[in-house]
Order: sequence, then structure tokens, then C-alpha cells
Amino acid sequence: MTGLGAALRLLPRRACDVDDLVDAARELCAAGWPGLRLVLDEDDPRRPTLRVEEDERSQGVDLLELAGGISGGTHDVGPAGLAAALRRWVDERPVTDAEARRRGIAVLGWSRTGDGTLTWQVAVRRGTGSVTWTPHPFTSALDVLAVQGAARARAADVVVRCSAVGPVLLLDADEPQLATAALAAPEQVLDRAVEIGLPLGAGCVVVTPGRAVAWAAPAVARRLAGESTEPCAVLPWRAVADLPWC
Amino acid sequence: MTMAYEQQTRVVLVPHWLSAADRDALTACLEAALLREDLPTSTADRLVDVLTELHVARARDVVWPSSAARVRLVTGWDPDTLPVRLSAMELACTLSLPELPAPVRAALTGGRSA
Repeated sequence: MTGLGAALRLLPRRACDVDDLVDAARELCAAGWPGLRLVLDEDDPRRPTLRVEEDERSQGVDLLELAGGISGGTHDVGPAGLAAALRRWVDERPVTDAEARRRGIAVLGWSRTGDGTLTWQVAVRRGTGSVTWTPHPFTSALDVLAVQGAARARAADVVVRCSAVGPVLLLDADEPQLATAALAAPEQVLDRAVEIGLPLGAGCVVVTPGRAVAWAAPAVARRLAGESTEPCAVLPWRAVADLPWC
Repeated sequence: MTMAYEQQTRVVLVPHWLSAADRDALTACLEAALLREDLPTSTADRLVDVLTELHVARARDVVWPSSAARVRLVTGWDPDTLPVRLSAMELACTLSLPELPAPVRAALTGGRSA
């Protein structure tokens, strides 16, 4: 970044006008979104709310709060930018059971208890990234198991790039969140590693959800992870399949 | 960029910021040194660890790119400059090689590593 660019970032950003955001929300509701019900609630003019409903899921956002988030960021606050911000919010709506069953992919994520352990999660790719599925309170245990099983099978088909950096095998995907999907079928990765010339049968994986996965001999994996400034987990590859679901 | 502490061996690893050219030259020098028959085994083991670290440094930058990128942004160093983390023993064994190219020796003892 040039010196001028750095200085420009310090200038006050243009605030997002809530009325403009409400106008954009009105247009979004009028245009509609396949499979979704979008409702703009303007009963309380001080608290306009946009709600998205899909099957058993529903989520609302206070447009005043959303406007605050847009002002605080580096977003475009023109009509096109506001429409994009609303589409991004809709894109991040909760995943329905039907969508998870149809398109869910098993990936690794941090446990929601915040204890720094990894869990398997069902993620669905959306336009702006991946969204994790949380079973609905009324979803039966059998249905949850079916969704998880299908997601694990689908994960094996995700295209993950394998590359060797010396003694380290790196697994990376176009969508970073999906790199860990390869660990749902570790034997496939091991076969590929042998083709590359890296026998990693006794290896460990270094996992930071949303990042490339590193796979190496235990001592190398410890050296790699020991110097990380970001949280990561090091575990034998055979232990990955036994991680719990969130 | 802070020094790190390796839990297993209680050894502190210190980052040395090396360019791609420095790392290539160091790799070639280490590989040549490891072919020497008079090289003590303990030194050879440490040199193998340095070779491993040269690979691991690249892998670390692929998995967690933001940390080194922040340092490069602040310092203006080239994009191919990476922190290669060495223990005192690994550094000493490397510096003991008479064939170590002068630019690499300078990079490991001064410059960005100072």
C-alpha cells in the first residue's frame, strides 16, 4: 500500500444511511429470492426489520444494526453496495435440514463449546462462503445421522489439491473451508501422497479450520504447529475420523 | 514476530528472515555439506533439521500466511522473505560450515536477523 493509501484509510468513512438500506431491502423483497420468503417489517419506523424464512428456518435482522456494521466496515454505501450487503446477509441465512441433506459437506471446525477441540460439521457452500448447519430442535436423531452420513460421503468427492513442500503434504481447496473435507476420506489422500513420494502412514495432520491442512511426520508436524501464531490442532490422521460431530 | 518455545525439547526457535535466494543458497550448501564424510553425526542431524525447517517455513506460510505478511507489509521486505526458525544449536552448526555463502551468513547473523 502506498503512503497516500494508508493515510486515506484514516479519513472518516461515509456512514450508511438507514433509509437507503430500507429502500434497498424493499427492492430486494419486491424482486424476491427463489425458495425464500423475504419480509420487510416497517411497523416500528425506528426499528425496520428484514426477515428471511425458508422451510423450518427463520432469521431477522435489525436494519439499524446492519447499517452500523456497514458503516464500520469498508463497504460501498451506494445503492449497489447496500443491495450487495443485503444479498450477502441473505446468503448467510441458516441452513435448512433439506438443504443440508441435499448439499451438506463434512468439514472440520472448532467446537462451539470454545474448548479448542475439533468437531465434524456439516457445511453448505453459498455464494459468499460456507454456512454451517445446526440441526433443528425438532429434527429426529435418525435424520441427523442421515445428513451427517451423506455429508461425509460427499466430502470424499470434494476436489482438494495435494502438494508436497519437502516432507509436508499440503491439502488446499478453492473454498478454504472445504480443505478439511479431504480428511473425511484420508485413505484417498494417503494414496495420493504415496504417488507424490511421501509415505505418511504414521503421520499427523495440522488443522486450522478454514486454512490449508498440513500432513507430515509427527516431529515435523510438531515443528510446524509449534511456531503457529494462530490456533491449530495436531492429531494423528487416524484420530480424525473419530472426532465427534458438533 | 516473537520467539517461540518448542514444548518437546525446551528449545527456543528464533526467526531468521531469509529471502528465496538466501534459502536456495542455504539449501544447496547444506546438501553439499551433508555429503561430506568427515561431518560429525551430531552436526549432520542438526543440519538435516535446518533443511526440514526450510521446507516447514514455506509450508507454514501457506497454511498461516497472515502473520508473515503483516511483518512484510510493515518492513517492506520482498514477498518471498520468510521467517526460518532455528534453535541456537542449529544456527551454530550452520554457521560452522566454511562453505556457507557470505550473503547467507550475513542474513543469519545480521541484517533482518539482527
